[in-house]
Amino acid sequence: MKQATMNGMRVRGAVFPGLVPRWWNRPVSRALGWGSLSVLVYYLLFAHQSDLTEYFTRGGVYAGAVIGVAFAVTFVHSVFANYVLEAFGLRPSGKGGH
Amino acid sequence: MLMDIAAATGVKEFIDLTVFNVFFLITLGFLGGLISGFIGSGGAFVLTPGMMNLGASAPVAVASNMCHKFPKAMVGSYKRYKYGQLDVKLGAVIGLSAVAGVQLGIRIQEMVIDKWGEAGSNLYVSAVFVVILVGVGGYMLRDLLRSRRGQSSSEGAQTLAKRIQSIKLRPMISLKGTDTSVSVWATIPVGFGTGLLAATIAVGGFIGVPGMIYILGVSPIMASATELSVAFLMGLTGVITWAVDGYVDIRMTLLLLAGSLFGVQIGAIGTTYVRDYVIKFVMVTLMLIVAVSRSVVIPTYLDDLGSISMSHGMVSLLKNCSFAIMCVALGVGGLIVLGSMWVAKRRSEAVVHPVEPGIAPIPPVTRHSLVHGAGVSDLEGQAPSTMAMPSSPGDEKAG
Repeated sequence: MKQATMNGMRVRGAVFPGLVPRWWNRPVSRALGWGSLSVLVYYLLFAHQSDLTEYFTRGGVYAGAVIGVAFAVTFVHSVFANYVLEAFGLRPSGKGGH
Repeated sequence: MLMDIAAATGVKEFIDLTVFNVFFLITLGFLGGLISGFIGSGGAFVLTPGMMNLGASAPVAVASNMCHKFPKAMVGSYKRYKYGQLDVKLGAVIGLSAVAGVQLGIRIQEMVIDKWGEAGSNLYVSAVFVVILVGVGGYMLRDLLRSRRGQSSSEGAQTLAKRIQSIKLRPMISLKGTDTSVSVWATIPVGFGTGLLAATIAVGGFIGVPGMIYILGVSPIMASATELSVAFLMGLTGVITWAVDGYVDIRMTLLLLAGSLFGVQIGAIGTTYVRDYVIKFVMVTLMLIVAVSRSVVIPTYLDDLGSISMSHGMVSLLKNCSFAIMCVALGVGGLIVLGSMWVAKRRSEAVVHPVEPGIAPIPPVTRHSLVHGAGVSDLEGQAPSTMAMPSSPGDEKAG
């Protein structure tokens, strides 16, 4: 499969290079995209915080929901954080990727 | 089991989320994450008291902190794995014994609460804090001072790790990126101690990281990365227990995560810029400041037990002082991490810019050289990335 490239470097995560718009390959665009999703997730969870707290503190099988929410939020927010740091040029020394 | 501890220490008390509380938790999460990403642990020592200061009961604060700790450690260990710093096998082996250590730690806490109540438990925790942190921190400080004077590491530490590595009791586990191996049996006390300490003072890494460095002979960068995977395993098993009993305040967890997922990634990136001794330096600084913080509060627990008598105002003053010193520890740790990253980044950029076209291209830095500095001699005088690497393989092998 042909690899998507930008300035001669392979673009990570471009599984379908033809379908992904070029602007999406920029860390700033990805940070904004994932940031919007993260804000939406946080908004939805905090808009229903009283229901959430009530159910999640019942314990038992709701423990699965607590851990599931923690995992889901971590996934979205950590990808967002990663692209924010990339957009600010904060990359590991000696390695281009993460 | 946890219900008993909860009954002794308080009920499910959930805080109101004011604007101050939200910013406080995000900031606390960020600083805790920064330190965790850098030294593999830490931050929890101030997160739990911080949440309790906002009005959460002790079990809710512990449970919410643990629920934020395991995803944070997961992200941190994934990042460090990508940088080639994580020894997955060693992390899994130590993680298993750490989980067992956590269970024993909880049993001991239960016993202490049954016998001496909450004040006894607080005194026990503070005493463990002071003894372990002063002992291990003092040892690390001595080693750090010796290495600053030109010796690669204290002779005692080297001898201990070499002796442990010479024990060929099967099953053996090879240490990533080195030609040495260590008996799995030797990893058990390290993991068990880590779990025991994690269940007692919530920061198992204060035993885990020095244990891996001085007992097993792992490099500080790899030890701090491996500790993150151990923290993930301990956190996951711990949070299941707490969540089944319904003690997790998911709102506090999510706010801590909002800051810590940034912090942990910055801290992880920071390890690729600094030399090994900076990790030891941050750890020693934190351990000693936290030890001071906990020793300040010990008289208040003796007062609770009736051993000494103090005025209400004095008790409150000492508790506030203790919390303030812990916040200072977190702030100082964060500043050292960010400061050393900034200096190393500027230094590496200063080396990059003078390079003119036509000069031999910079050889690629392999994952092995990134962690162990093995390729440093090959790259000397050419690669800017060597600024961040240990100067020699022996330099990083503190044990």
